[in-house]
Amino acid sequence: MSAPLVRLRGVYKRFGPVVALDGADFELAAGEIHGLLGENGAGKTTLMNVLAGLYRADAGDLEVAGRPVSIREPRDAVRLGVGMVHQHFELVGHFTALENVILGREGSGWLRRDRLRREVEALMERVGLAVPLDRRVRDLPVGVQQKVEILKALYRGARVLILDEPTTLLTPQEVDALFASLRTLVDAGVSVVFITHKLQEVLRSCDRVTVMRRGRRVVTVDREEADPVRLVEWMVGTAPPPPPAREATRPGSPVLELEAVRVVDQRGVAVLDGCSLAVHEGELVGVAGVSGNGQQALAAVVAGTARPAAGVLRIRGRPAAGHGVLDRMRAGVLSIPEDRLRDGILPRMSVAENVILGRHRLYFPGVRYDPETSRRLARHAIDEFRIVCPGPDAAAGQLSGGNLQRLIAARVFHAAREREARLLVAHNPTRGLDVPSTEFLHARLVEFCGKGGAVLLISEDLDELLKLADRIVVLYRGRVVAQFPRDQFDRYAIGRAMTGGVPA
Amino acid sequence: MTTEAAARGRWQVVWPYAGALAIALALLAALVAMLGGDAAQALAGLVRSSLGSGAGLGQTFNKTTPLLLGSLAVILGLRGGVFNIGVDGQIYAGAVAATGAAFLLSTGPKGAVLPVVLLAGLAGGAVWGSLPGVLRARLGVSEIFVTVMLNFVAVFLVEYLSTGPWNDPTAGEAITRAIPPQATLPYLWPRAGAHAGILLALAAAAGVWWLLFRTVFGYELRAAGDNPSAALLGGVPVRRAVGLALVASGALAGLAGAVEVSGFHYRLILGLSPGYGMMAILIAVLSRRHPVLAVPAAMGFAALLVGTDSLQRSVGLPASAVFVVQAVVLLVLLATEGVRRGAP
Amino acid sequence: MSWELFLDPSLLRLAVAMSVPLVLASAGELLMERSGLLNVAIEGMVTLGAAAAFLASFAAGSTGLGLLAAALSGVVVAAVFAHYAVAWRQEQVTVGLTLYVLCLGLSSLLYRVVVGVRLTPPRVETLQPVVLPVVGRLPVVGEVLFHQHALVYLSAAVVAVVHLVLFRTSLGLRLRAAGENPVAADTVGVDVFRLRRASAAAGGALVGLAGASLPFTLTGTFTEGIAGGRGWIALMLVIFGRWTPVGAAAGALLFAYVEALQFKLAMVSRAVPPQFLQMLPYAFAVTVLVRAYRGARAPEALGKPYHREARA
Repeated sequence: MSAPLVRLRGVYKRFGPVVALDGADFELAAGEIHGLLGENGAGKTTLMNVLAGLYRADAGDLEVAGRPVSIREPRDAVRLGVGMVHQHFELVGHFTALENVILGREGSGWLRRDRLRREVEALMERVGLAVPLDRRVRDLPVGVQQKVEILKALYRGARVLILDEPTTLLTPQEVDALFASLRTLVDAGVSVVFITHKLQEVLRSCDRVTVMRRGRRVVTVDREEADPVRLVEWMVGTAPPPPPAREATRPGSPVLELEAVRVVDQRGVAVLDGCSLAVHEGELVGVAGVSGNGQQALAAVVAGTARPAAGVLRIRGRPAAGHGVLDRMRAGVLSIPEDRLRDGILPRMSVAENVILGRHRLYFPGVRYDPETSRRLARHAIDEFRIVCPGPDAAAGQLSGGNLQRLIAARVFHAAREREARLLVAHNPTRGLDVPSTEFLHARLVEFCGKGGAVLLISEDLDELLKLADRIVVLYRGRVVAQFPRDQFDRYAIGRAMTGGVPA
Repeated sequence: MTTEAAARGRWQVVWPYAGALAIALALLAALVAMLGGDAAQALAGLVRSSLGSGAGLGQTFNKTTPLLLGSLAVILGLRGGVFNIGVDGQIYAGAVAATGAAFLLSTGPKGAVLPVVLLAGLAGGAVWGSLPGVLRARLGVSEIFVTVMLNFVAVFLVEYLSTGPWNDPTAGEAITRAIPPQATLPYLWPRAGAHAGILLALAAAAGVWWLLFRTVFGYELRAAGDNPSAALLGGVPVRRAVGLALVASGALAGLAGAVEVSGFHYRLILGLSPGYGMMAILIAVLSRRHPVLAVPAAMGFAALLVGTDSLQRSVGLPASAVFVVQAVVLLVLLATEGVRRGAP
Repeated sequence: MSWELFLDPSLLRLAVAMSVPLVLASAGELLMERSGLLNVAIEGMVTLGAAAAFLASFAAGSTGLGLLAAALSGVVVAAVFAHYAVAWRQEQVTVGLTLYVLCLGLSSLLYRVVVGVRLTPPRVETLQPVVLPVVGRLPVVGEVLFHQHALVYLSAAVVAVVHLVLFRTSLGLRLRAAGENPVAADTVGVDVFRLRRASAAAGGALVGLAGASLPFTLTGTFTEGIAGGRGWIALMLVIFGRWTPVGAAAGALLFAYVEALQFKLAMVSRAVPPQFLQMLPYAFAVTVLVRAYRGARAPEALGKPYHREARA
């Protein structure tokens, strides 16, 4: 076998007390699509970040094309022909696609836009990826943004293209298109590393698979030798748990009803446009859709951070009394925020002060605030939800992602009990979480439904919805365009609806 | 955490401040030497004149009052995530209101006049803080620029009043008539010349601590300052809380203005605030936005001010030197913090 | 008082001259802000620039040396600010305010040390107007625009250069990227840290020069309050101009016009006490900000320190 194009050996990396990489190895051969498989937290992204120059390894060797190299910052990686497309795109939203592709490679002095445009157009032809070069990136759909990211890497002469969880935000049809493009890229001389936690993708598209767990490589196998059961065993170390039984439920009376609800953004554009849906007691309704079709607005109008410009919103049969967060809370509607760090946590305040956020007026109806009460509540939460932290007075910002989500879950579920909440709305609640935390949250959501509560789960992860929902509605251009009860779940039909095609 | 680690932690917090103090004194010594004076003697004189004598201590207490009240105002704002740079203007606004009230009630009984005068100061400052507060709450307009512009407006207002309608022709160009005796703040320590304002300031520090850490409003304000979008999702009326914080902040500064008129100058004068507003920001940052820590910090700054005043007379050290020293102290502290944090 | 007073050529001429410190300071500030640095020390830097210019000219008898000293002072302070913001990732507003106090103190201190105590404040030579050859002879326009001192022409050139650099060069593209999404810029190999420092140095020089224009134009003296809030106004002008040099310059002209008008009105009208007229520009500035705030989009990363490994 010829020398690998890239070889990583014995890579160590810690972040404070957490060991992310514990002597990890990896080899990439030229002209292959190599899957890097593992659950969230296994170290796959961290390892590739080291290769791409975003992290500096504490120890270990790197070799590119047979020569030992030192990669200390992204520029070094780029010079060696390594390009990475991250899960969360790094595009300058207000720049055009052309500007994003050429950024950093425009030459010096005057910006020769015409010549640069011709170069990019030639590249697009060669690799079979087309994007509208003069549109602002923030106005482009996610699938196209991803193409811009790939073009960016290729424009820099990347021979090694690393894709980090590239299918998370894509429709099933876009996923197919992506896999086809990857084959074209390989034919054009690029080698691909495909980071994912989804087995099916790896089995479909990759020539070889490396499984990682707890910061080290477990095994590397060719596609023929890889079968789903063994892959899962390698990923989690034991036989996979049986999927939770989701019995058919008989939904009760409606808890939440939206009738032709319209929400406009700052520019007056309707982000939710005549959206109608209903959630009943005991029901978990999943909202599927490509990111950017109104999910954020839907979550906001249900949670109370956005007012409807038109339409009716009914809670338990009666029109909503007000449209603020407190009004929703009093009506029994609670929300789990989408972006934990950004919207869910008060980083410099203590765990206790975070746990009581949202319920503080319940416990302290008057003027006074008593920190000891908060601490007591926090200790309950820490115990019940197994939050790992130094104590109720520790600053919340120091907790890891998984523990932060447990803290938020504690806050929400306790509040749900106290306020006798009827509806929980959650937007991408398990994004980026490791498997145990994801399972934990899923179990709590199902439990909530079992006790007669209702859940509106807005998620861009179709697998999550397929697993948990009683009914899936599809959000497209701000309205519900299709509905699928559990016994009619069809991944491709849902995918078609997500892109505007009406299901047969 | 073991007690050893805890002790080490505490020491780690203390030594930057001690180091900063040492740098302040060294810098002063250098400046004095540059002006041809005897550095050692000057430093000794500084300590003696600010803390070593009754009169000096009294002056230190007097200067602590506006500095402490001003820094509490800034701290309230910072906890809510807003920068109140208009403390000077709010001090003047409070002083104007207090002086106006004093003139209006010049025939009232002492027990009634003084509280009204002080309340007028609170109100004047609150009004001055309410414009940026409303703009921030309703329109989301940054308070940084608005508060600064109002500083200028307030100074012109004081200039107008002290050279025009309230002017005392016998006292000087930009000095008003004296306020009636019922409106004056009593002495706390007559021999040292310290007025009772320090008690008000200390009470305010306790009050701000209680407000921030023992009331729902304070909890919500701190949440709004830490992460406004998370606070919003938690049902906190972020814009309203922050707007109110700016008004309360202005009120505290206004009280400082009233105290300066009522306890120290007994008139409204143009130089009422020799940069207290800016020093208040430095003190607020130095005390890590904590109202209790602001007390020793404000007192330290006050001692520095009194000491450099005496140096001004003995060695000719210009008043602006104290700004340089204070700013350098904070810069050194910010640098040590930054170095400890590590490379980006 | 007829309305012709508002369009008097000498008033317009004065407005153009008075716009210089605002144009230069706002151009410098917007360079820094486009790269992600929010500099609130600007008022102090203008004051220090004025002091440096005055003192250098006073000590060495050369206006040119004064301009150089002013620019240098701006570069040094901005470099210090950039280090705190970029290398130590300190809160930019806090550092800015501290540097503001430092600059104010330093200005007065240096003045005192160099000039000492005098009965009458000393004066230095002010810049004389230079009439441009052909265009200076145009009716009205010629008098208003082309009978100005050198710094006026310099500020016009600065606006053009900053615009070209920001929007037509690759350096400008990278600088703007650093201010919008430093993570994206970093991953494509743009040196965000160096760009921020560079924009600080260039911006600082411009702000220092803005300060120099103050003693060198109107009175030839230096006083503590010589900046008169112009640094803060420049901050607002950046927002008003939507972070473009042309927009900020337009705002500067507008504001300078109001200033000049207030000047003229104070001389003409006796009815209103002068202090209320003096309040006008500041009140005007607040209303301008409130109107300009809506829809103004700042560079996305403005004021946020960039921490590479915080991406985890």
